Amino acid sequence: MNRVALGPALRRRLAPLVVGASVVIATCAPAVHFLQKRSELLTTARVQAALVATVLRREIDIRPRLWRYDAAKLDERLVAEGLGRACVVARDADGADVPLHTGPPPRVALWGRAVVVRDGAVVASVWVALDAAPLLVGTAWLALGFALLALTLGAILYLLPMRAVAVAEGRITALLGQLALTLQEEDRRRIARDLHDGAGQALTAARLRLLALRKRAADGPLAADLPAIAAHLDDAIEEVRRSTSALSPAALTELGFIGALVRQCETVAAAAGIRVECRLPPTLPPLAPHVETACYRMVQEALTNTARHAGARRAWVEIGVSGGELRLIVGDDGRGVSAGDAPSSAGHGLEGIRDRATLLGGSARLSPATAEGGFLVEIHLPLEQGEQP
Amino acid sequence: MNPAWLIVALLAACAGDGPPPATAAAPRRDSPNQDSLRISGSGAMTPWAGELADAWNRRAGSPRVVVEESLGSGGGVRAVLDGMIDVALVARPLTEGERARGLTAIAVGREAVIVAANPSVPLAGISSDKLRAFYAGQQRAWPDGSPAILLLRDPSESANAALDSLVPGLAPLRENAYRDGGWRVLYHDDAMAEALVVTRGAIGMYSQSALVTLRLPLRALAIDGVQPSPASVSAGQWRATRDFTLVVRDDRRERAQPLLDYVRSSEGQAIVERCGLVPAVVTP
Repeated sequence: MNRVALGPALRRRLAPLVVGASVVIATCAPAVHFLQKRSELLTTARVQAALVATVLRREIDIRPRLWRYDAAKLDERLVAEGLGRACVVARDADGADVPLHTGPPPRVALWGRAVVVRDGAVVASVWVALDAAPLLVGTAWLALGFALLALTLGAILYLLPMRAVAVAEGRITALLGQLALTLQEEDRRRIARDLHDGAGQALTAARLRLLALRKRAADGPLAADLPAIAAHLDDAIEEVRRSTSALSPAALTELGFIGALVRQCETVAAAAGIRVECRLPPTLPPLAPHVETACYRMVQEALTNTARHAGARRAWVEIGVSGGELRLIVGDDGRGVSAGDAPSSAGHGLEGIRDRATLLGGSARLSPATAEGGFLVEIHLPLEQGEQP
Repeated sequence: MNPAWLIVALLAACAGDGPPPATAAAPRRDSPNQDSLRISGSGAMTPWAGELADAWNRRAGSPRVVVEESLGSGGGVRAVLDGMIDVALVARPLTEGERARGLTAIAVGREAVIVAANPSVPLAGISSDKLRAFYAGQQRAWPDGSPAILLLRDPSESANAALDSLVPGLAPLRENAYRDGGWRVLYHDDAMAEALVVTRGAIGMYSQSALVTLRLPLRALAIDGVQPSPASVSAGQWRATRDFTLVVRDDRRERAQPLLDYVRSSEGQAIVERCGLVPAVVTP
């Protein structure tokens, strides 16, 4: 049975949302940090530029025409103002550099500007560069941190729904499997009922009539043929009974799950002439009817295969519950069945076991029973909440 | 988005309002003014230059000498190279690089770099050890208990080296004093003179010629018993000296030559002597 595939549809809709949210998470905080710190740094640069402009203004007031030639004094004044290590560029009104000997420009510079105005005219411009590398490095670290956060949140936002959907998919698949098994069993019961009520009743009536006819014609010319006809009818009635029983395991209803399995073992032992051990616990947690039926069918199929193809002297059936699953084993000491030599009927039977296990959300493993040979069918079925001990 | 573009955008966002390229560094020359000679440079020489200009202008009249605001010796050299002034007042020897750029220095005289004191200072002289103690910050009071204040000149002042030659060991103490920030630093001779005059108990390095020329109410302290004067400078007893020079560009020397000749004339050297300097030219 194909698994229900809700995941791809959810993935198509969820992935863009998760990616978008992750991008927003990863970029917003670093961007805000960068803009805020840049603004602060720029303000600092502008304040320092204004401070330099104030120093220049004092010098220009003293030497309006020749101020730019006393750069050494300007340097010292800048040092005295604590700006000796800052990168300062000063230009006079003509755009010519004032040869200050301040710090070198940083690799990543953020410039703040101020002007010196005297008598309504700009007589000098000042730029102060501050190192923006720490800002970039800090932003990069923050971006890295938020990228990891976004990755984590994105994974959570993506994986949680996907996992829930996967669980739901499994559950829906299991329910569909149960439904399929239920419908199959219902179908089998209907067929069995029809056989029993139709062909079975008709054959029984025919045999009764034949018995009556046999009494009346005890010495007649047809008397010699009647026993053979009766035997054929008996065979047909027995065939219908077997088919009915196979189609609708009445033993489950009459004897319960464990009892039905015991009877199945006895029936196969008697029919095939092999020893069948039933290693069954006295009680099991309550199983859903469709699970009991499926297990019964699988044991039935496995034992039938053993009887028909294994050439075994001994077979066994084990059942148990552990780790939230039902474990069902049917083994024999026969010659085993490999992929190359398995008869087609055995192959179909084993395929049916696998299909049933899969429909119930479980699995079936086929392997040699021992190193010397034999065959082992090991079935694991998950138990529902109410089925667990 | 390509990460490379993101990085470029971030770097661009970091650039801010950077300076535009500077204009070409061609020499800046004021339009030649045939009517005047502009002089500027060392602040210590400016008072003497003022006296010289007054005498020259009274005597010759043309070209008229105008003494600009002081720029320091280095600033004067740069300004004369750029053609912003005609003659630089330089109180230190020219470097080889400056000579190579076509500058010539004409000696004017030698002056004493002194330790000047506010009149309230209760001493006429000071020992080298005591002066070093001031610079080291160990001496903060005068013998009468009044507070002692040391005023420092900026590190680029040429007089620092002159005083160091008189008081060995002063340079590292001065560097420490700059770093400690315990004493006030003055950046111009005018500022130093003003601070010395108004600050009770203050002493500071100053120019004797400026003190004499400006007739400031300050006292030049003797150091280790030697009083600074042209005589002690000439005798080699006062070793904290510096030579005053006029610096001109060779290609513009012709305009300044009459003034240079006047400075080295007997009349000019008399002005030098009157300003407390030892004349560079010995006149009969």
